[in-house]
Amino acid sequence: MINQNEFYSKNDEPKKYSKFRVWRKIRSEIRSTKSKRMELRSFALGFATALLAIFAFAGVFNLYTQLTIERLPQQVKINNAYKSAIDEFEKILPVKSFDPNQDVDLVLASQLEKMNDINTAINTIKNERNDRDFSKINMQRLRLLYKMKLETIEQIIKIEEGGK
Amino acid sequence: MTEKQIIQKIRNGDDSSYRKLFEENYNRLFRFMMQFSKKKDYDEVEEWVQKAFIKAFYGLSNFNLSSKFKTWLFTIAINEMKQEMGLLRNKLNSDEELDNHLIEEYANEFEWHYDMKIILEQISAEKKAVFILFEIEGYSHNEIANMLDISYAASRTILSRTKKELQTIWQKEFGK
Repeated sequence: MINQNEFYSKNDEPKKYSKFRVWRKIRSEIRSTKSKRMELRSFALGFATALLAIFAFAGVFNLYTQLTIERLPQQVKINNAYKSAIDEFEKILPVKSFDPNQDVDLVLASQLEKMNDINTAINTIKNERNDRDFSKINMQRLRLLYKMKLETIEQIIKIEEGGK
Repeated sequence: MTEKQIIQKIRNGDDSSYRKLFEENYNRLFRFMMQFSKKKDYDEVEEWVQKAFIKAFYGLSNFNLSSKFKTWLFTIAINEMKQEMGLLRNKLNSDEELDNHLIEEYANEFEWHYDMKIILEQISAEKKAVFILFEIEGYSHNEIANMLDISYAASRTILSRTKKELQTIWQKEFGK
């Protein structure tokens, strides 16, 4: 093996500030890459946090809705069931609502007008009462209106069947 | 603090400890790389060295702690130079046959003279690399084989041929 001092000369050695200059470049490269990685990590963490918050909110909302439904008094649940059943029934009617410009039989027209009035009355009661007002009178009125609506629908069907 | 401890510290996020490895190895790597700069361009060598240190830093997580950092750094620097300057062939001839006669002849006979450095400038980069790594930096043929991605036999044969070439030219030019 050859002695390193007999091989390398002074000209092979780096100049005075070379080491300092190169180290500064290396340090800045390492720092900039590290900060880019940090930014990326922060973004990923922020994104994950936002996602978690959305899921948590959705969960809380679902839970709230579920609890609200479960807490409704039995009477309201029955009324809601009435309403949705009648609404479904109404959907299959050939003439759903009264149109004065439409050429319909007078009897049928009066029934349709009656049903429109019933719907308006139902909506009025619903709009007037607050969500937690489950007074007996209101409940009875609502049930009566549902009953009338059902009977009117039945009449309309009969009239239509008779007209064919 | 040992080299292994420093590397462990860096791996654990203490980037500033890398300066110790840099301080210890900068001059060594610089003067080695200077041998491959055709125009003895300091800026060019600084760039090779800088790139090697940066690559070594990012590769520290894969560094085998049973190896020497210097060996690993030199390997990275040689590859960096190979890719950038094409000074060495992409792959040295791994199938180089063992020339036992030549190896024996130049194992003990060779004598270094400082004037030979001028001749060394003229020979191919791959021969120069094997010669300096073995004769000056003290690496074994096994280590050189790994560093330059050649066979053990190729490393030995290239070294002997380089010595022969150096001696022949030296005797011819200097009449000794």
